[in-house]
Amino acid sequence: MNCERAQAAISERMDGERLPGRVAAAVDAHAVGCTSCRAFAERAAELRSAVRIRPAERIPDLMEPIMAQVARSTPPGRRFGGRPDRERWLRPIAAALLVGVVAGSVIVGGPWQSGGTRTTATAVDVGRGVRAAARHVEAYHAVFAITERGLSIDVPTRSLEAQLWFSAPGRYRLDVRDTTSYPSEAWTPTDLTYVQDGDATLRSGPSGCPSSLPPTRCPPTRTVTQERSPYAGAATSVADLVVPLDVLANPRGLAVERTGTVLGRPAVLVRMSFARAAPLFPFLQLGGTWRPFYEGDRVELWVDAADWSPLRWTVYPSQDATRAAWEMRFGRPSESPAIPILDVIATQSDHLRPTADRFALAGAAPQVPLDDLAARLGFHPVTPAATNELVLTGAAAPPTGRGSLQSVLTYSSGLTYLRVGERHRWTSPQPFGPVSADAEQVQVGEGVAYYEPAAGDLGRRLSIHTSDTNIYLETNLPRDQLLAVAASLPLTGTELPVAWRVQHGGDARTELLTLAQAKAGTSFGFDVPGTLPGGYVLASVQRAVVRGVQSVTLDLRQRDSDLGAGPIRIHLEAADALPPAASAHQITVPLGAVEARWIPAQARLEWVADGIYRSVDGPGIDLGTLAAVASSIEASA
Amino acid sequence: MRTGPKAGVAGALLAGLVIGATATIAIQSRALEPARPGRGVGTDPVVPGPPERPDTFLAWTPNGLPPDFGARVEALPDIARVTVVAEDNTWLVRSTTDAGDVADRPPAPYMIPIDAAAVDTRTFADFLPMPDRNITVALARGEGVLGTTSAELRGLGPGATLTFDTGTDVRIAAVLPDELVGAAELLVSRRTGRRIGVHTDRYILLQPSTARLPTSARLTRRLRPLLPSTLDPVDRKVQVRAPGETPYFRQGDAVLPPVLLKSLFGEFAARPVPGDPGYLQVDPRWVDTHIVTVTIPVLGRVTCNRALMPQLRGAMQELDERGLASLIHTYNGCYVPRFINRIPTASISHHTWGVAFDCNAATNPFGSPTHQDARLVEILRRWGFTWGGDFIVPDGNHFEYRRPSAG
Repeated sequence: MNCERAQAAISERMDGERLPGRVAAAVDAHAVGCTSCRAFAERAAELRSAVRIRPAERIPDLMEPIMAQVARSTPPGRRFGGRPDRERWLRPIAAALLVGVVAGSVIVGGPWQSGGTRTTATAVDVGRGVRAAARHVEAYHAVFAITERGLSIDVPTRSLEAQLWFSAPGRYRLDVRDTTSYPSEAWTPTDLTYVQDGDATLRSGPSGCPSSLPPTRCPPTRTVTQERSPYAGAATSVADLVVPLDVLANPRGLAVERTGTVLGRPAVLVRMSFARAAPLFPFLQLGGTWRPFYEGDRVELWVDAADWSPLRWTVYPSQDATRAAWEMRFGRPSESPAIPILDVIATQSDHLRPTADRFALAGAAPQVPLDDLAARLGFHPVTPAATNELVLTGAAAPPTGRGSLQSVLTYSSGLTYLRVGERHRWTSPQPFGPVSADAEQVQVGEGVAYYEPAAGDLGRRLSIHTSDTNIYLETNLPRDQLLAVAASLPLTGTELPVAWRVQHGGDARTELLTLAQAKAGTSFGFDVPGTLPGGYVLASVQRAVVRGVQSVTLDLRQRDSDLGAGPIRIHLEAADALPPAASAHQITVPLGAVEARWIPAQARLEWVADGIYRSVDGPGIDLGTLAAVASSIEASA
Repeated sequence: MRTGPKAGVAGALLAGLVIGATATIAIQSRALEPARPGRGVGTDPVVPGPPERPDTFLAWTPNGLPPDFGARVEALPDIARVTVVAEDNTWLVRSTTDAGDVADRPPAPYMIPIDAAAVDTRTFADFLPMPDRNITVALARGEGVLGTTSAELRGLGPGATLTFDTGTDVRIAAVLPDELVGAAELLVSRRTGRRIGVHTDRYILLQPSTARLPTSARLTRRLRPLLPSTLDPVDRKVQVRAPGETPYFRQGDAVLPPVLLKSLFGEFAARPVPGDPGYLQVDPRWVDTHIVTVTIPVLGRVTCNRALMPQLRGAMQELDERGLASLIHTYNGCYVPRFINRIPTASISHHTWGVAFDCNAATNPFGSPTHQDARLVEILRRWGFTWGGDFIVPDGNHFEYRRPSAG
């Protein structure tokens, strides 16, 4: 009996199903020793009770508000897809269908489980909803009230107001005004401004000076980037404040808890970790002073069931034991998991198009016509034949810092974007763009390319290397659509040069190989685990020889996004015993016939069997899931 | 038309209920792909066993390790492995991203101080988790590793290049968690370290070979006799730590590492004062924006980092309100840009950030028994200041920022 089966059986029993005696006994025996399943049962009972007692109130209550809200919130002249009459008729039906899906899923007990390992029907449906909304949203304005707790003893609570404007294509503005009453002038209010107009951005924040210092002496920090290069990692994205596409498009790590009404609007509650919800907090990256947050802290997000805008999101301290080590490192006091430490509420919103002056950026470089761009570059940038209905909205030639020339073309529709960068001269021993050498090699047309899922402020990325040029694509389109766009480019990608894939240092050597190559030349047997969380694929295989000892490392990446749960790394190496325990906390867990070591701080499960050391690392992934992956490695050994 | 939408909505709601329930049950039953048939491993619940005691220790001595200390420790019969880590301040003059874009270019003649550690890649590998040991290949090639906080501070990652005042370029091969690099900003090989100015052995990591693991106190007693008898009695001390006893395995672990000070209080560019290299000349623009002189209760006029002032003011107000102001006889300074003990080869003093202050220096000189009142120490500790009286070489007049106030 494993957790998956036990929890399914617990659900069935709560629904009144009679379990066979043998199964019931196994479930009970399992639950005695499994804190995760006991917690599951308790939460399930609580929520089930809430749903059962008031189902007739909760679900029908949503129908009229949804219809009324949809009617109210569609401003005159607002058009999605150019078919207003048909759409107006369809939208309440679509909203009701969604509410039904959520409610149906809740009733059978599964979708609201935590743990980050499940792909639920409702989470999938939420993903579809936000993807559709993101493609069609043309304009947005919202005001958010932000309450932060626990910055310091002198300032236990802070209040800030944020205003967001969006106008397609690619224009954003976020203003944050700190309305906190500070105890003295030594404190610096966190007033921030972020403006993006295509490839030009402006970031302005406090300098760290107290408010008593005149602005002439201590002006705010101000950073203007006129043309973003393909290395846009430093760029901040505020797009998820319009529609949380990055957060919700990938269902992994999301738990859709229930439906309800928030701020008078029909809404869906989604729960996730702070790391998973990072794109909802762009203001934390813009400067000023903010309290720290633990990546495992719990975020509850209410999202509008009609237009998919975020209505309210709240951060609660995690109960995770590893938070204590984090608190020690940051010198933080222990915090109650019941008291929110950050709360963001949308107090008003509309879809009226802001005036252009909201996004005025002094010194922003004008867009360059495509033909002029070719003249500036000395080559004509390659363009995809298929862009998935996105239209060309920008063309630029940002400086490279190395004297060579590069182009960046931007295609967009609503919040959805595709950037295509190209540089002819590229000598760094890794793929062009923010794509690592151990990225997943994928087939694109007749050639190959190197793919990485979305992570941080970067979208899904693809790097293509040819003997003549280097191409970089970045998008928030789904992976399959990105590959289709890449396949329409008029070129054929080649494998990375050997010199980029093989490295020597002293008497040691590392090399990136295909799975078949690595299997053929390694002294011990291995394979891709038979059990993997949904959405993970083998990205790369590295073989190394260090001090004469051969090892193999498999990197498994999510297909779409690294948010909340990073790559799974599997390492195998000839060894007789585990290395010395080096972390402050590590525990022994059974893994079939062997004992494994679980190191929570590194999210690593490691063990030795038959003279081979094996480890599974999975940041953001729970022990139960990693144990299942580890078990399948053992089973295939 | 009036009943059409309502009927449609009701139908859609019903259809949604069925779809949601069916799909959820289907997906619940196969959230994980099934394991292959095998030895039946992994169907048991994960019931954690007892905690495992860590068996890796840190040992360091004041002002750097004595020569051959690592070898002496390794020669002990019950020690399995030792690696010696050198760490010094180095001077960064330029950094570029992997695309060649300039990330740091401090205005001449100033340079950015970088806390860099250097290791013997062969012995250090044993102290890395096995999956991370491949990084020693890049270190042996002359490349470097950034700690996580360092990478975030600089906005740099793999492929970036750091250029030092010695003219040496170090390409970044990877970013590792701070705890794996002792919270250093940059980790390089011994050879590369010598080229950028890392010479001083600071601490060792060791793993005992005995089945019965020693405690930190027992190990301290084992290591202390290995210190040369010629050492000054003040320096003839060794500090041993086990994981969990200190946030990071590094020397001087009672105070924050430089990379965290930079994150909290800002990063400056500076240079040793010509003709007086124990002191630093800090970029005046940084001083203008980060160092301020204000009046603080009990202490009077104080020149410190702006960000420290609320905490310092709070501590002194409490001291005053509790009638304990008389416990501070003299205030002896806060912002002083210099190296520790004014020794140019030492680390940069935290007074340079303006986050440490001295008081009652006459009765609590460096290296001597301390005479601070316990109530003063307790109040300041609660307001987030660590006390130098607890240092391995006591510095009873010294208090410095360690964490936010706990109230």
